[in-house]
Amino acid sequence: MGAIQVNHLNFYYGEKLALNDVSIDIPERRITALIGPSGCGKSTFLRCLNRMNDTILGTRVKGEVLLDGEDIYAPRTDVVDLRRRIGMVFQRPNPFPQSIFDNVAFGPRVLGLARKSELADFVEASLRAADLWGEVKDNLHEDALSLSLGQQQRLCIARVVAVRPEVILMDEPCSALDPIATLKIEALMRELSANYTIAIVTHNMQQAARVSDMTAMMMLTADGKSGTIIEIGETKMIFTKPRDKRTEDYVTGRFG
Amino acid sequence: MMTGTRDRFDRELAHLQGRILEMGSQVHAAAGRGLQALVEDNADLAREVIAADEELNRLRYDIEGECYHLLVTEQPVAGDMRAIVSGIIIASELERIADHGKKIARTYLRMLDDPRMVPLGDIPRLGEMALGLLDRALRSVAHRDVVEARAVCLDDDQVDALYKQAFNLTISYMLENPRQIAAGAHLIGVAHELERIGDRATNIAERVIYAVTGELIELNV
Repeated sequence: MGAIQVNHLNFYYGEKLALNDVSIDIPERRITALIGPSGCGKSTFLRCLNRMNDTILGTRVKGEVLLDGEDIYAPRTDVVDLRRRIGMVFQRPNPFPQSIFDNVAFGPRVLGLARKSELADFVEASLRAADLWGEVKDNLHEDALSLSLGQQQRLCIARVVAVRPEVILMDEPCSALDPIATLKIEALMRELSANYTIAIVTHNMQQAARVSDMTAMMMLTADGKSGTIIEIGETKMIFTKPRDKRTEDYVTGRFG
Repeated sequence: MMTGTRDRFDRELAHLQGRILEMGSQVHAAAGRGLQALVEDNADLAREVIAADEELNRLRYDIEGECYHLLVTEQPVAGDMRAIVSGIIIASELERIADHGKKIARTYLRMLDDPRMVPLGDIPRLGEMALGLLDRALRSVAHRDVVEARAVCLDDDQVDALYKQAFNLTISYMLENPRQIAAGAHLIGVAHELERIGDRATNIAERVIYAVTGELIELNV
């Protein structure tokens, strides 16, 4: 559950080709990192995986994105259910201005995943999965915005986990966090990968090297106009002996 | 596409490479002089070689420290990581080659206790061959020359073969001259030190292959 296969994906903002012929297998219950210079389309690509780009007018997609073998761009796809199955965590934590409890309970309530009597257990399990329970169990009804940024980000992860997704997309989830909060999220990612497929966009090379199993290197095509994947491999290989000179130059900080 | 973001780091890597080569040439000279002391029967030179070893040990730790500093500050990956980690290992191999030179000098001084000399036989040639191999290994470091590095690994077989020959020759001499068994044993010790220099030249060459290609291999056991 939660394997993603992308075949020859092209993505357009209006007439502008932003992603050019991207193909990748994102294996289930592993962590796949997407790295590459700014503006090469990493976030755009991540957002193609749960159709977040649909919300931007004038965008279109060619090629296919398969979740467990089914094309998520097929007309019959229920996009709300798709985004439940493929959740997303963003650069800056974005909890709702509600209590900690209500943030986590929001999804299960809306989707009718839990009966009222079960809701508390649901929230606890999600907060435990996000390694936040111990820190908030005595103040579940406090404003989520009173938490530290690192805690807020773990709350957002709990909120994603609460709707029982298969895949979690993370777009630079630690870029607003201090080193300790970052390490906590990384440890959490490793735990979550036992149950969920994770794809993460990161600018932090060490983070990609530490946390991911697979790494995909993206960069702009030779004409500088659209992004594509130039190399995919085991993370260990990408950071010790990448095959592509451009990957080597990027991971060693020589361009990008 | 080069933006020069790593200029400073590149200079530091070049500096590290320079120091390794500098240490390499000092070690090559030291090991050569250890052997020279024996061949030319020069006790003063032997004592000089022994005294100078400390400086080479210090150099090794300096280089190692420089590598650790780069690991911590630059968190290198890929080719940079391979170059620095190889640097640590090469410096350590070089330091041990210097030790082999020192041991040859020390063995020679011990042999002076007994004035009856044993013929050196193949020893000078063995030394020339082992040091030649070290010289080639160092050139492969300097030029990041994988082809030469592989050749060094293969050619160590010749050093091993000559070592066996020197060993056998000395043993026969000892059998015929039982009074000089101690001196003969010392000489076998010297031959062994030289043979080890060949092995370490191979280890250095293997690190060049790793640094350049990422291949971790043992080419000569």
